[in-house]
Amino acid sequence: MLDKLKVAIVLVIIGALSGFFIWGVNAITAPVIEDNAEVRELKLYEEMFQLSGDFTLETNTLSGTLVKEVIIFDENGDEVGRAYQGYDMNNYGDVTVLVGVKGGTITEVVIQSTSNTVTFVNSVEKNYLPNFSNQSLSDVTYDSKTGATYTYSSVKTIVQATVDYIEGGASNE
Amino acid sequence: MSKKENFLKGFFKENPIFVFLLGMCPALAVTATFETALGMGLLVIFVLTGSNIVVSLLRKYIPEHVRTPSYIVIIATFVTLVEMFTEAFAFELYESLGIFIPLIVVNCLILGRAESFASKNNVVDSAIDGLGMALGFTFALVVIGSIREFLATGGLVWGEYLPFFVDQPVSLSLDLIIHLFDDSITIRDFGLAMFSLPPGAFIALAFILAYFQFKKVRKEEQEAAAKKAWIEQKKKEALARKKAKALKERGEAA
Repeated sequence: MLDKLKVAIVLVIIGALSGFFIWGVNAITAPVIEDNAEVRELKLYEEMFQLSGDFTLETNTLSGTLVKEVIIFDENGDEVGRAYQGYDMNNYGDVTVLVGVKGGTITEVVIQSTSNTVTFVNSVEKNYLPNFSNQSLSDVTYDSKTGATYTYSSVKTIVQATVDYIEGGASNE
Repeated sequence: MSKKENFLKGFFKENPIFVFLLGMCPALAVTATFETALGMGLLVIFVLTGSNIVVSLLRKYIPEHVRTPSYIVIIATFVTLVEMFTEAFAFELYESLGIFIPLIVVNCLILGRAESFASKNNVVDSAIDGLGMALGFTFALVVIGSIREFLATGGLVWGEYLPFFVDQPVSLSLDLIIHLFDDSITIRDFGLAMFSLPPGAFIALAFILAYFQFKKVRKEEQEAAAKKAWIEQKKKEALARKKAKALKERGEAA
């Protein structure tokens, strides 16, 4: 009985120490991670809509495949464009995609974060995402052969969800 | 075993990848470029050295029959810490390594060193063993990564995933030499792209392992030949002594 208690105490102590260290490091790194993510997102908007000056954002939370809609205003308060953040899970993990839209046209599609295989993600980013740029929302064409079926399929799902949301076609719920 | 031998054994004699074939998952998956290979190596150095120290410190308190789950909790803690630090301070590396950072938990090398060395030796020796083995592992990853990146792109890049010491990625490629003669040719266009993909990892590793095996076999053959020559020499010497003795005895008898 005493032996079992000893084992339990040792395991509890190891677990508690592990938890304590993880909590401590999380307290240090979480704000940095959050700040970095925000900076990266703002940089994406800058690139997506070729913004040079200050800009402000208005965020609307969505449900379903699309997570949020971000309306970007320039320094004069004029709307520059909208970005839609979508999330999809495939067999290789999750994919978060940002779709930039301006005046009924896709400005850019960017994979914001993913746990899919890096090589295939790079291939999709380099060879297939640029094809979305300048496509009209009313007539988006998708590549049928990418060699990275899962990642591209998730991108396609999110782009289509954006199209459906804006065009008011299929429900985003 | 001296401390120096303990430290150096991981590089060649007991190299985790080239000799023991441990930790093959990252060796194949994250060695598409020199930088990702080095990045993974740095993370493993932190985790292996840290876990070896903690396991060695706690070895007398951890009950025998729960040692494996205890070691895994310790290793997983270090991996979680390293994952958080990487995400915060080297995001490009974090993204490029992806799922392979959490998978360090199940790297056979780390649990293997905890089980076979750290749980039986003092803290200093365990730390030296962990550091030496991890550096050997890193050395192997870097060798594979460098070969693969060079064959795929014709050069090596620094600063893309590890944002240290440079503001912009720096490329060291054969273009520097080729462009002295012809600006229109880019070596990347002639790269063997397959080497940046999984089949290329297997092929590159196969050639490297074959080279190490060749060196090992040749060394064994040389040692066997030297031993054989030594035995022959000793036989000759013994025969000469026998002959001399017989001649001496015959001379005395005459």
